[in-house]
Amino acid sequence: MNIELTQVSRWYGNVVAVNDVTMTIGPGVTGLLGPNGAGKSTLLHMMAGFLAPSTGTATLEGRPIWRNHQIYRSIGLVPEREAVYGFLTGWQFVLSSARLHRLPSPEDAAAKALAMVEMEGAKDRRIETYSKGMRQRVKVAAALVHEPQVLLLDEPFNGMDPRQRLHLMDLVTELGAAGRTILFSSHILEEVERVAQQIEVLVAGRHAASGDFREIRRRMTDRPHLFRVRSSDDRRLAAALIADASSGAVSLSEAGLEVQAVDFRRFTWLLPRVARDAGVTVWQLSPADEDLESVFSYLISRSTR
Amino acid sequence: MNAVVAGITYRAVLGRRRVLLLILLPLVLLGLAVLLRAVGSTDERAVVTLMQVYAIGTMLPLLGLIAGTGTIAPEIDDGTIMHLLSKPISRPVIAVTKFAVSASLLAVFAAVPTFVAGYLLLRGEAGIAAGFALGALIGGIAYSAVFLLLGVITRHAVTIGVVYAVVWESLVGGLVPGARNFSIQQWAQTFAGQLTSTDFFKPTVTMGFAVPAVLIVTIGAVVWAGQRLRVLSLTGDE
Amino acid sequence: MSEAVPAPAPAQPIGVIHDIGYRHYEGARLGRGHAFAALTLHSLRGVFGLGRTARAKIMPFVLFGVMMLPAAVSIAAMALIQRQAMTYPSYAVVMQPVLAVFLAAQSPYLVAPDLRFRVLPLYLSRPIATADYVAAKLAAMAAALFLLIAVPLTTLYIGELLVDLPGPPHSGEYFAALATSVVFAVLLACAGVALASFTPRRGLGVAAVIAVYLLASAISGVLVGVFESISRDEAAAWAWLINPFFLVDAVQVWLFGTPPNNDGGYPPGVGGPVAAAGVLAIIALSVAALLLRYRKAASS
Repeated sequence: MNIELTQVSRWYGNVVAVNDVTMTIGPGVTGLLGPNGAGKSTLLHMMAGFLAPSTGTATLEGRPIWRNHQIYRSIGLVPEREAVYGFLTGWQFVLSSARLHRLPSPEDAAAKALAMVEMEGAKDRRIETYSKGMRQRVKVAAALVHEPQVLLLDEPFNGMDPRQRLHLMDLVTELGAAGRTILFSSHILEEVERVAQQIEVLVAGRHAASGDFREIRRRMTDRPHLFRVRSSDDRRLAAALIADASSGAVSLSEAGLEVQAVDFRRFTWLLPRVARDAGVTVWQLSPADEDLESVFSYLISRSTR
Repeated sequence: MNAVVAGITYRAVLGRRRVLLLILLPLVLLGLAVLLRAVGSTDERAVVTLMQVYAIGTMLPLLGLIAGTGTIAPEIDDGTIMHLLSKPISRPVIAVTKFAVSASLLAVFAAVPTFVAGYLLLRGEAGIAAGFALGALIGGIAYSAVFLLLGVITRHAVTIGVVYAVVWESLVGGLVPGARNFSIQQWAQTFAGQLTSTDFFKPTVTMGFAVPAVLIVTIGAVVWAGQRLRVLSLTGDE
Repeated sequence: MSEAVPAPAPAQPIGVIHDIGYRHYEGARLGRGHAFAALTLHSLRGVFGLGRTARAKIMPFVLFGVMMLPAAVSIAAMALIQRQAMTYPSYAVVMQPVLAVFLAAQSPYLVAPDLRFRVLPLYLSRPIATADYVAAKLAAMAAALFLLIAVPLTTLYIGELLVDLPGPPHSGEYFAALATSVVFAVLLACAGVALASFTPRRGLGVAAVIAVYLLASAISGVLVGVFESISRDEAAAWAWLINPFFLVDAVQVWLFGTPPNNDGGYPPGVGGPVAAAGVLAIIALSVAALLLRYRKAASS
């Protein structure tokens, strides 16, 4: 199932939280990435039917999401706020979710969902005695109880310990591989990088980038690239490279050379020639900052400039 | 009406410190009734005073405030309402269910004790026990609807409810005769007057006004609350 | 990490602490007294919504305006028809619903958010003790209530002096009412804050405080009505004291000899001292409850 946003904006008074965003979230795992205050929650709330777009439309398979409670048959929502009914046990909470969905056999569905998040052991304790990570897992179980085609998670990994985090990541990956549409928001790059095939980057309310993050990185040719070079004579190569305007900075260490290329295209053209002319053999050339973090900090610095 | 929503709501309202207030107020009514019996003051006039000033004038609006806002305002406040709203249940159904929970609580904690206190003092004399119990029941229904609506439309439901109950109903209603027409307390007394036959009690609002007023206010408030719930946006703390 | 990146292992572990411009505070530290004063002032401002959102200012200022109304009307009456419309000793008693609503609406603000968001340990990690915290909150609420009563009283008095009614000004009554307003402020603040501190939910706190006031006032009203109807006037006179506002009024009558503001007066003889003892008992009980409550809250 696809969630489609078409030219969606949302403002609160004079503050624009989401600005003219058009995106389609399809099957698989999508990460919604952005710094705090970028409008991730606002966007997610509009996809979940808890907020009306000020302009534009948000639809699920062509059906409008706002003021349409039928969409919850296909959507599971894990809200960010920790609050759940503390006086219910985990079992009662997930069971109530199954009953509210009018599932044919709510007990079986609840047991299955609790097993999926490995919460069978603590299911008979009241939720107020749970740790943050356990609450998060129970919320995930309640959202999964009706096996929704679409799962929306707002900062799902917050407050989980590393083992629980890995477990939930695996679960999300599995569900995505099974063809469900999964969207989760996060400001932690490592999480997104690890789970999501597709990222949507939101910066200051604007849809800054979308797609596979390596692909996004490749498109950003107007920024300095950092390369690691190992060669037969690093010092000599460094001297030769810095002489050209395409290198911004070159640093030399025991691990090799780090070159900041200001002009990407010229640098890739230049390096082999410079090495040949200097009589240096290049053993290894690798991009040093191809991870999501550097992509992200680039996007942020560009839009706030 | 939805049984799961009702079950969760009952547990939320009755499971916390809120229930202490729900019990304390009718207990005081019964205590006062016992006291009046002990000092031998069981004439109609004294009992009407007790019913008018305490049962209808103080206990009912307070219980309405606690039960009516308590069924929904805390859940909106801390975001737990999301659990109910993110389900394929129409939001007006949720509002109606919450209203029914609050009204049933008021029947138990306000109307029943009112009848018991009246019966303790007068038995069936002049229909005072039954009359005021009916008044408390009808008033409780109207208060439930109004305070539920307040709980949905504002984060300061209790404070505004207090101002309505204390300032409008007691002060303005007491001083400005015309304002009495727009007071749930007065409507409750009108219904009470239908069953009573005593010289010491004369409701100021006519039945012809009170019946449509209760109907319009109750239905209007519940419907409005349901519509507001459909467009409820939950954004952060405070 | 992307697969294209080989991890070049550094020869030695490298650690860097960046200088991000953090500076130590090297000035004088002002200590407990100042911390107490700061918390009191902050809380007092907060009660009137200062330093909070515009919406938080509506309630306190509307109620303040309502408190000023009788003073304004009375000054106008003195100027136009040369008569006092409102006497000083009756001011707080007549305006009791307004004071009660103010107390109910604002005392949960003082204590509930700190409990709800569990920030008490943050306060207590400063040179401030549990008792200081409680005292600061009480002082702030008492000061707010005192202002709420004393400002209209003083306005009225200045008005009376300016209008210059025939006969001497009612200075005695003014100062008696001013002294009594201190009693009102302390009693109401202690009771209101103590009640509000038992729940971290603001709404329930508001309901609890107003419920206790309405309860006391209704019980008192019912009993007075009933006792008067069976001509037991002395019992009725005692029943008035269940309402905290008439309790303080009885103290005022006893101390300053002002006319009582209820119908029928208070119990003669021991009535005054008993009322004063009642006021002190409520204050002591509330403060004890608060200290107990916060000893528990501070450790959780």
